[in-house]
Amino acid sequence: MEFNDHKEILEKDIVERYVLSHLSDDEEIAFEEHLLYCLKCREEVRKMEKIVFSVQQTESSRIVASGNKNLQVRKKIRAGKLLLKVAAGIVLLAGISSIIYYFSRNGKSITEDKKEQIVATQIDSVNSLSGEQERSIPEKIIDTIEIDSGDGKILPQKNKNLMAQAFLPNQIFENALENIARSGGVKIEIPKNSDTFRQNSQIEFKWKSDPTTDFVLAIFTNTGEILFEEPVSSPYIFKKELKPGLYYWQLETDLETFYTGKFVVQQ
Amino acid sequence: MPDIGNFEIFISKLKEDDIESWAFAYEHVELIVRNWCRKNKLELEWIGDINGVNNEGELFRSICNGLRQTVINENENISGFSDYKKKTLIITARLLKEKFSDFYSLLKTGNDRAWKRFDERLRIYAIKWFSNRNYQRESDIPDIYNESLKTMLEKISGNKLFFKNSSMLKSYFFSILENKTKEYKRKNNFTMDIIDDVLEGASVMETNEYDDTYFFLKNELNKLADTEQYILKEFYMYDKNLLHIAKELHISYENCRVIKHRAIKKLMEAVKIH
Repeated sequence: MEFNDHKEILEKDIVERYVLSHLSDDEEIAFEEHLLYCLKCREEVRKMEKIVFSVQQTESSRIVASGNKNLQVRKKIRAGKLLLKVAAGIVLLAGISSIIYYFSRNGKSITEDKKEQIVATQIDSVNSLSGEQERSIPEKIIDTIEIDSGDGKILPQKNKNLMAQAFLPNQIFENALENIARSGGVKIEIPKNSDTFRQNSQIEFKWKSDPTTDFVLAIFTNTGEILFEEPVSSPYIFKKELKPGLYYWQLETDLETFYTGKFVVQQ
Repeated sequence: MPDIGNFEIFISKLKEDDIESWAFAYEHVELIVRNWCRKNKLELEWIGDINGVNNEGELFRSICNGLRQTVINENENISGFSDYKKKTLIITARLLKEKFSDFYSLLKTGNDRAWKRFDERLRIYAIKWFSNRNYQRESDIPDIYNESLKTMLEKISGNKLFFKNSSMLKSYFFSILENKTKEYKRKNNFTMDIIDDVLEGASVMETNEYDDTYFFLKNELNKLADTEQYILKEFYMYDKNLLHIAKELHISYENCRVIKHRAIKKLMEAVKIH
């Protein structure tokens, strides 16, 4: 496929589709080669990139600005609400004082027959955020250790098990599991995602793929830290000892990730 | 423009270290690298080094230097345009990985410029994210976004997380955003005190590192007719197709297409003059 005719580029909206990544692979290669020789199209691409970016930025600024406008309105409403709360508090206090005064003057007490329920309402306090951090990877409290306070009482003490954290799934990798790159397939033989290995055992990686593709094997902890990243060929035996935990691994080339998998290491 | 008849001539000029041809190659590299990053959802602007955030120009220069090394010093055989593109992108992937790693370190230390860069792109995606989920209450979006950003800062500063590339970092942010949105829906009346303080800070972040053309184009966009503005916004920001937009506006598809083309043409002309 070649783009030699600007009429075709215009009719098919090639420039816009290129900037929006809507071209097929063949169209993209052909257009990019055309860009080597065509200053006019290069200029058009640059202008289109700026236009698309400006539209996006203008819209996002508008939404942020509408949020800021609400901020000003909310501040006024908050100030008004605070004033109302103070006034309500004063009225309530006055009301309670009157009731207490009334009963103390008449010697009445609240009897079983005449139960006058005094509904006391609390002044609403401004709710504060609980201080709990939203966690996308929840921490699980596993162990409870009991501590002897020394006077015969046992005080419960919760302890976060750091070991458990090493097994928590990483959502980014979980979403990518078994994702096969579109440019070609790779058939994984071992390890399977359900595999578990002992701490001191070797881990074999084996797959079938196009023999001309050079892969890099990358191994990550569940926090995304890269532990190992080297060019390998199938089969490959990973010999380094891993601590107990959940691990993710990827087969990748320089330009894309072909496969994402996981395995567990136990004590 | 150098006299490049075809790809073979182009490569031979590069091997001869022709300055004009390399300048030409630099411009071309810029375009194909931008396209590749767009397709792979990588952020070209999330790059840095030990001295601070980098601009794209520095990255493109490094890529070209790498390409020059490949073509001239290593005298590698380049069999065609596809091969040339592949080699360029391999160099790009390697450099981008290193520079993103440095950028992420800057984020972890709370570097202001790095966070501004981060926010600038992220807010666009966040708004698209809300739009795709049909989130109706537009006024909530800045609150939820800023709260998510705050949580992101806490998580990153806690030094426990690693990200291979900008795409994974974005995915992580959106998992936080998703949780925050659910939480917001559940307890709709959580305090505005803290959020409003953050939001005030966010309004300061409006001052971005835009070049002159952005502000110029923003003005030109505002001069367009309402329908033209609407169509461009829905098409480029919210990824709607023209058929859908035409139905919303109760006009024909062809009419919608013509209006869009007319609007783009006006903007292209304006940029040309500017």
